[in-house]
Amino acid sequence: MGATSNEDGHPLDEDLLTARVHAIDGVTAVYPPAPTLTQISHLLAAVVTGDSQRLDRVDVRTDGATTAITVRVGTSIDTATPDTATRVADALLQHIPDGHDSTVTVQVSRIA
Amino acid sequence: MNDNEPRTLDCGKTVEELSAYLAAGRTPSDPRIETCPECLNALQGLARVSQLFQDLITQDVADLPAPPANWFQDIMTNIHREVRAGRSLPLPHPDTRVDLSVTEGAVLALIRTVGDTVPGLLIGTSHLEGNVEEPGAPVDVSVTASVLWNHPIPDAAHTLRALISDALATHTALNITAINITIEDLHRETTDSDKET
Repeated sequence: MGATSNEDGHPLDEDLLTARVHAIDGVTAVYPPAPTLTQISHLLAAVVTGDSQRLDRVDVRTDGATTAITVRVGTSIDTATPDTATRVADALLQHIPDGHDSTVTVQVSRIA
Repeated sequence: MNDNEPRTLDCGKTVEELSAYLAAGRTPSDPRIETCPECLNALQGLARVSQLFQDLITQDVADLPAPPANWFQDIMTNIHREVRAGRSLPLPHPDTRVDLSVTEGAVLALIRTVGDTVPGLLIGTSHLEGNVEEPGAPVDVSVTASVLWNHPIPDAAHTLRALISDALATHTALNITAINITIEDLHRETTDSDKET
């Protein structure tokens, strides 16, 4: 299992999806997909470059014909969290190519 | 857990490390902390506790007994327990390919945040009791708090209950069946004479 290629314009490009989620009303932050050593390469890149957005991203992983899209977000206390989470999921679903076997997981980790 | 045992979050950071980071003014910026929701929830709670601790040192020296020796450690432990991601509270979505949830830690931090808006009231602990991972299952909320002297306890408790009810209805899909609030402490409010002495 590994991340999909990040070529520009690919509908499941992590950077593209992350930017899309950031733009959704009620989303205040996108967090690293997992607080584990699996993020070590992104963590090192963030430390070296000082760019924490390398950590804060939508995670896209493929396993054969199945793709799993996962994102952890922070939401605004001024906007209903279920509505914000739904908008995030719907936005990610729009990027799944027709006939593609995918799942979308949205976890709200902070409301502030 | 004893007082000397590190309180480690899911991300590997300890509450003690976060407290030191906060004391250093969050500099130099640590991306492992600033991009971690559990760490950010903990920092928010620690900042409030730090301010409260300073206020109480000033307030309680006059003629009220000092807080118990383990009071600060208890609050640190509570923050550690609350900010961990904990259980996943499901949110509804009609598409079976979608899994939406909010973490228990985010909800407990939310309760602490809305509680801090009640004048004269400070949240101690909060718990979600019940099978929060089962949609529709009955869930009770239990909260302890302290109230500053001269603030009516019934009014503070009523306001807190209403705010928690509204917040949970807005931000979760939980079936809340009870919100139990226990006022455990009273603290004297700061006066000008206190500040001068």
